[in-house]
Order: sequence, then structure tokens, then C-alpha cells
Amino acid sequence: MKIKTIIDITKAETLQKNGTTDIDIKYAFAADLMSDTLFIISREEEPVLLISGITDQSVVRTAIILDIPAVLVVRGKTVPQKTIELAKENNIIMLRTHYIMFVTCGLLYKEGLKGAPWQKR
Amino acid sequence: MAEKIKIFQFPIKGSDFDHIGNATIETRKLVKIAFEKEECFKNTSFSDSNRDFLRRFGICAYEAEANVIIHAHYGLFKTILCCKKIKGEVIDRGPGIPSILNALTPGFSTASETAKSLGFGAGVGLNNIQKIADFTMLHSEKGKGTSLQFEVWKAKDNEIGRIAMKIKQIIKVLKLELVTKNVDMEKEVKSAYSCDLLSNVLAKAGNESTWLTVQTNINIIGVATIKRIPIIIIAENSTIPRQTIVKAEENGIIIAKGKEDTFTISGKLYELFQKE
Repeated sequence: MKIKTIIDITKAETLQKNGTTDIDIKYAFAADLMSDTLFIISREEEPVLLISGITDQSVVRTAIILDIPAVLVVRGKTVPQKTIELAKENNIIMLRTHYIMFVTCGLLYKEGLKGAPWQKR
Repeated sequence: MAEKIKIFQFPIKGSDFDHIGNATIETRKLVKIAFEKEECFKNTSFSDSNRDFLRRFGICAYEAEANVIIHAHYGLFKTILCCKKIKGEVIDRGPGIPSILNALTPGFSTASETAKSLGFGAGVGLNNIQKIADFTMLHSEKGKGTSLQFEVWKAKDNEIGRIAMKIKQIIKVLKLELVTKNVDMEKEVKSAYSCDLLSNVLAKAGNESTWLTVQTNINIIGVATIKRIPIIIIAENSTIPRQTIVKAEENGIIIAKGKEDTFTISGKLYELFQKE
């Protein structure tokens, strides 16, 4: 799924567009606890979309560490300028939707995005 | 070829939530540059699994760094990179860990509300490191500080000579009686260790191996948790106290009971791992 399709489906706005926009995203992962994210998407190469309610810089840092190309912020939260700047420096696309997390996930799942694969360890 | 070692060091300040992850990201950049530019690192088999390797290291480093920021006053994050593995050392001055077993239990957290609002303090940090790194060592002194060491190894070294075996299969073939309920039987193990002395198990048993013993007291669960042992096989049909079983179920550890003695079960297990 292209970034543009994700924007269309979730009626998202682009907060930060620097990054690999032509990437084909197959998987998504939604979490507010960064430790959960770190644990779960630990092994796979495929590009993953991170859906989160966290707007702090830690969300961008998590994305950098896990090679996640795009972050989707839910519930229309205000994203601090610092977070956007950090994303810009590191080429991580930042999107924002007004839907709540449940609806965002549902909409994307319906359109064929799969849950990020993870190994039970 | 001469072996080269690179050492990176970053200071970490406690409660500095604005810069959580900075030391990790900077280290990651330097390691990446070393992989790309330096002959010694480029020629090792790192290059095949570079991304996975970097990611595994990044996760451990991030969790370790977050721990210092959340709990301690200040700390030092040292990375030692050599051709075969990468080692992280995080040493801090702070309150120390009151109970290491509690700290290793998933979901247990003493993080502040500030940390939790930033998405940290889920109580899975140390557990994550333990699961992802190939080696971890944790030392903590109450009131003084904590030191955590972890190593991530070259992927190939890790897999040589090990054959995975489903726990389900082991229980079936060895005709064991399953004692714990609601546990994950699909998990795979690659080795086994037979011993009744807990300290020996702590020192020598491989991570994620099968443990064969006649000990049934509650402490065996603590040891299994620390060594990430998914299954304990109790030999000679020893009676298992109720509390041991409860604790095992809480920690997702399987206990299975066999009628034969340790020697016989060991032998059968050995054959089983060879056969596959």
C-alpha cells in the first residue's frame, strides 16, 4: 500500500513529507507503548507503518531504530515542532489522522494492510 | 587479518526525557559507518544480516538507555564493536533495582508517570533485552547503581549445530505428563541441560534450553525465568508443590513430569535432538 493510499483511506494530512514516499507498505503496527513496538517489530525487513498516539520525539526515535519509514499519529493530536524536525532530519514521514486508533486500524486492515509479523520468542 | 575493535561512549543524564534515545541513535550511526567504511567489519558476515543485527542492537541499547533516564541519576553507555559481536555496557549511578526478579517479570514497572506518558515504563524493557540479546548480565546494588551488559552476536554463530524441536513433540515422544495449564506448547527448544544444583543451572545452562531436574521447589521457576528456560522436565515422578505450578503458569513456563530417572530421560532427549 502506497503512502498516498494510506492518506486517502484515513483522510490523513502530511506533517512531514521528506522520506521514501514511493515505498510499498505491507504491514502496520499500532501501539502507544514504545517498548511494545520495540519488542514486536524486531526481526522483519518489510516496511512497516507505525500507528501511535504518542507525539513525543520518542516515537520518531523508535521509528529510526526499527527502520520504520512512516508514522501515523491518531486522534488529530498536536504534534510538537521538535518531533517534526527530528522526523525531517531522519527522513521519516509523519502523517496525522482525525480518526481514533481503533477506526484507523480497522480502515487500513479492511483495505488489505496486515498486522506486522513478529516472532514469539 | 588483524582484529579491530571500536569503542564508543556516550553519557546519559537521568530524567532527561527530551533526549531519550539520542545516545542509541548516535551509536547506531557510528556503527553503521563502521560497517560501511571499515574493511574489517565489511568483510565479516555482518553484511548479510546487517540490518537485523543493527536493529537488534538498537532495541537493546534503546531499552537500556531508557532505563537509565527513567530511573537513575546519570549513566554511561559504552559500546564495544568487534568483528564477531557487539557489546553494550550501561553503567549508572542511581537507586539500583530493589528486586531483580520483579524487574525481569514482564509488566512490572516502577517508572514515573512522566515516563509512562511518553510510552515508556511498560515493564517489558529488561525482558526485551533478555529476549533479543544473545547474552545479558545484570548487576545492581541498592542505593548505588546498576550495570547492564548485553551482547549481540553475528547471526550465523548463533545457529550452528542447533536443531529446533517443538515442546509438544518432546512431551509426546518422552511420554511426559503435563503439569501446567494454559501454556504455549508451540515454542521451540534447541538444547537441554540436566542438573539439580540451581547455581550450576544459572551459570551453565544455555538460554532457552530444556531443563531436566528432580528439584521441585519454587526457586526453580525463578531460575527458569532468568535463563529463559521455557520447559522444565521433572524426573522420577517427584511431587510438585502447588505454589511451584502456580508460579510457573504465571511466568508461562511449562512443567512436565516423567516417571524415569534423570539419566534415562537425558539419554532419550539426547537421541531426540540428534535424530532431527
